[in-house]
Amino acid sequence: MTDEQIVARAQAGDREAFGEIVRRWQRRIFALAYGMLGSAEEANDVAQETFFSAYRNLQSFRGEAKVSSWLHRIAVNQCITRQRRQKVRRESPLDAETVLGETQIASVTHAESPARHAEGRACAKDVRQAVGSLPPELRQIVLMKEFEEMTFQEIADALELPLSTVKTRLYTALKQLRMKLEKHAATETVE
Amino acid sequence: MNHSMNTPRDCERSEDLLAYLYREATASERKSFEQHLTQCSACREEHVAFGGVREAFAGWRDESFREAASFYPFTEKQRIEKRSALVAVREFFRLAPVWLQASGAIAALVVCALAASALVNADARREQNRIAFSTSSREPQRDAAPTVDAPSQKHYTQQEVDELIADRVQRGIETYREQAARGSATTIVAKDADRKSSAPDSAASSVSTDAKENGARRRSRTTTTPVGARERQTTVARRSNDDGVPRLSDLLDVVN
Repeated sequence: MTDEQIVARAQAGDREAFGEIVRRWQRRIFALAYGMLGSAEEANDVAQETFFSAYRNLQSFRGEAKVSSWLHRIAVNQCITRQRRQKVRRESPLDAETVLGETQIASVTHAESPARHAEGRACAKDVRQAVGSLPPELRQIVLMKEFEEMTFQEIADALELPLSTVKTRLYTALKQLRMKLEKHAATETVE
Repeated sequence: MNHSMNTPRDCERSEDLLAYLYREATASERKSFEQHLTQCSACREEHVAFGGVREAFAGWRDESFREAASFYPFTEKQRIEKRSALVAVREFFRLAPVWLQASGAIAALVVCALAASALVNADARREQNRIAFSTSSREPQRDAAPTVDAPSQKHYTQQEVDELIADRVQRGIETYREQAARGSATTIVAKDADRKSSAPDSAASSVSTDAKENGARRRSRTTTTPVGARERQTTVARRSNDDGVPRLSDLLDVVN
């Protein structure tokens, strides 16, 4: 049974059907939130808020997009909302980097480098910070491509954008990420 | 256009580069871009750089999913394995469309009916005290199948018929002797003993009318020597002629 069929049953009043949607997608939504926020507790909160929001707005889902895309979009919005709140509170290193800008990412990352336990984990953190510093319209496409593994056409359909716009945005995002990561690597090498 | 001097901005095939990088290009597009890569250093350099970014994405994504797996300890596969059959059936009837539910219910009823029919047939065979056990509902096979029922009428073989006749003859002789003894008739026993000493025929000795000899032994001997039985009858007939003993036909009349 597809996600769309299960959602149709949930819209008809079957509350347990929505539970199946939660079971199917909670880990991916958690992973997406963790990829953006870097905190398991926050990622869990985002996952819960995502499914709660989806359940409340169940009737507004008209099947024009995939259920997974719908859930991912809600989760991304939840993460952005949290990042904005944290930006105000200045609690999150990610937000601090986002506020301080691209040039300061390397120094923040470097300050934490002695505490790194593994190179792979550090690399993931660098990427998370770099992605977090992207403009929302670019970050959304990166997440849809890399986390949801959607095709360009699926992203274009979901966002109601021309296919060329999706490709151009992703190209721009990759170029910016490349520069951020290369700059970070160069800084680490020098120091 | 000098491709070797291209910068990323100079080349207009950035979209093709992305399609190639994410493996969404068709075969012809892929071949075309691979040919372009041999000529355009900018695209070649960018292809390598973006590949590195994607590798970094993979590490980021893998770490996120590892964290998710540790936070939600049961994977989808484990959840399916842990789910009991009853829960699976309940979920099927909860999630499946109405037509599928109806089909499933009908199929389940048919299976139950077939199982019940098989059980009824099996019980019926046990009631008839048959050893063969089958759940087949085909009656003709049941009748044709070899069984060990107690027969309602026994069928005798030729050998058994001979044995019975010999036995009856023997009984007739004994009956006649008793009648003869009671009527002071000729003592067949004495004369027979004399003949037995002169003719060591085993068949003749078996006709020496030991009234206490059991029937089974008599039947066995007669069975092994049917010719001897005929000789005994002949002997008896001869004696009846010679010694005044009854004829065989008379004995048979007595038996019958």
